[in-house]
Amino acid sequence: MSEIILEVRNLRTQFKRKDGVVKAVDGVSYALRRGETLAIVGESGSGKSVSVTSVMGLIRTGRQATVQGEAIFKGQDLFKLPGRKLMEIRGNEISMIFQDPMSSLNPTMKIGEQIIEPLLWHRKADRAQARQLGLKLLEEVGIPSPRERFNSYPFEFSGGMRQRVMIAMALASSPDLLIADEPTTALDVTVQAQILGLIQKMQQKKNMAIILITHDLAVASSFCSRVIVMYAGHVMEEGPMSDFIRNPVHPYAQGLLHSTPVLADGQKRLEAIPGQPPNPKNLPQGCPFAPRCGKCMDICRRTAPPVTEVSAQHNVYCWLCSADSRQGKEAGHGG
Amino acid sequence: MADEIIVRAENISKHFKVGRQTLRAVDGVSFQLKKGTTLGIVGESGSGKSTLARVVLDLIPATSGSVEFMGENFFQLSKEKRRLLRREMQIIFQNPFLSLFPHMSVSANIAEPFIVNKKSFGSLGRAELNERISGLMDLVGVPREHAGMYPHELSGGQQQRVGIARALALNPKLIVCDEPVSSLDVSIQAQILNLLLDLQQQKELSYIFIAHNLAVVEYISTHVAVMYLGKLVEYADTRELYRSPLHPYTRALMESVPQVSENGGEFHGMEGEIPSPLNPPKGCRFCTRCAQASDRCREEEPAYHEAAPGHYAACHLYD
Repeated sequence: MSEIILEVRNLRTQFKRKDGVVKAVDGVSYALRRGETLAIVGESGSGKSVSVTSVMGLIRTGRQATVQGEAIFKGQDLFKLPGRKLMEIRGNEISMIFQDPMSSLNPTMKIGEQIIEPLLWHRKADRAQARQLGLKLLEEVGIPSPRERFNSYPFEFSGGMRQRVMIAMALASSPDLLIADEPTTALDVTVQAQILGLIQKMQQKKNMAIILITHDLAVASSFCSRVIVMYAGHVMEEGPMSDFIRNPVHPYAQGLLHSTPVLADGQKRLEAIPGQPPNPKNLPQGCPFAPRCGKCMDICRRTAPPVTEVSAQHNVYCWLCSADSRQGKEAGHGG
Repeated sequence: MADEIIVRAENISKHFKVGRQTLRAVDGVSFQLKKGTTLGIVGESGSGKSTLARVVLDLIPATSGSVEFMGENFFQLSKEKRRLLRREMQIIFQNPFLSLFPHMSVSANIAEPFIVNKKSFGSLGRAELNERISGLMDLVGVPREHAGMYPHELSGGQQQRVGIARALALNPKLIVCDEPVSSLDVSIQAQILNLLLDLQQQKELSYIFIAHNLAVVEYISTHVAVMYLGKLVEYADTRELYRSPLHPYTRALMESVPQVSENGGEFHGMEGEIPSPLNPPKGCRFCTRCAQASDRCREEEPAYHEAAPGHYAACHLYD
């Protein structure tokens, strides 16, 4: 197996608000090997985006927010690096693609300039070389007539084309790790397929590791080899994608799969998960999913579940699967 | 009664003037909607789905064509009659927060249709109004304690339920759902879809359901129409359309939808993007992206016709 390039240990990100503390990410750990594709799946407010923006150092910490834990990237803890060093890694060895390509491109700057900016900033090339590389990248990501488009502004591009430009920018410095935060959510299905196909092709070509953040299990399962399912800042289940799709164990993960409509599936009634995600300022004690869980036991409401191994590398955080659960049940009945 | 037709749209066109050019947002679309059924409309952004729905609702005037609603030709009625008839049709929007009044409580939002139509509901006393609001909130599953809350205090799913309650207030016959679940999380999306299905059964509602998510449309619709650049390219009942799609565009759309799979997958995107509606291709509008396009497709526009029983398509492959 190839080396581990990113290891996140016990990440906790909290935001202080007037009316309480938001525990956006509450004890998340994961590791990523070179060339591996990891999906972080969850609904809005589950902490999936914050779990990577924290690692990237994009959360301004201080009185308002705290980030704890470790994020070891190629042997260095990103949280302990001085800002200057972190900037050398960001946009160079780790790149990021965001959901809305219009608001993440500079509207007043020509496309070409934006693509070569990271190359110049990180002093990887001089202007002439950077321009050549930029043109080559535009061609690689499927922008027709790159020479003319090089001098266009973002508003002259369609949503799909803008996302292609974002990808070209992210790939400019040949990163080892690409973080894609809902890269296709704003796009039409046809364009979504093109963009995901493009990222997939680039991943294979450059052997990058990818973290794909998405709410769409179908996208995640076609794209990634491993998955983490998050809910209310906690990991619910993690493992190899094929194992997970074949045998999802956590009631939340099962609920997610059953509430996703499947194409050409007849019209079987969807099993919606009842209720709402919890208020992040006021998370329930114990398992955060307990109030919506159909199989909730007494112990679930009292204590957060420990990790249980379902099969190799396939872990779940649920009392139902825990060896200690029998005790829990008895205690529950007794009380 | 089961076959009563509630909406009959004939040859609807809606053109917008953009500078000196004409944007043909909807170009000669006809369809029928039977009472108690759901017509799903799918297509990429810019295909004219929402414009079509707005024309049917009489929110914007059609350039040409006619809409018959409950047996009456809409565009020929007097202003007053048209207003009364329009009350029988309602709309649910994509962004539930933007479609509610932010400065009004949940109950005031739901009460608004009664207040707007005071002429007909003038006699409604405070107590009776409150009772109706509570009834509507029960119907859509918003807890009664939320009556005094403001939209920003609710989650997206709850906001959408309030939007549905407001749409149901005047007991409409037709509801246009314009991407009602695309901004919601999957677990909440399923709740809202199931709610819409239950309401349809209880009240014999008819829906026009616009969405870009093909799986969602399949789940909720009895019939599906596929639009491309202002034209209807295919129409059939849901089972037929998803089992044997005819038009290359429909097939390409379906192939683009990622599936939950154990073994990963490749992404098969159709080439290119939807052309500008200001300057649609000559001949078949899909010919620039169609893998099976021939010279004829680039010259002659295919007619929309019945290619198989009950299954309409506009493609030269099925002439």
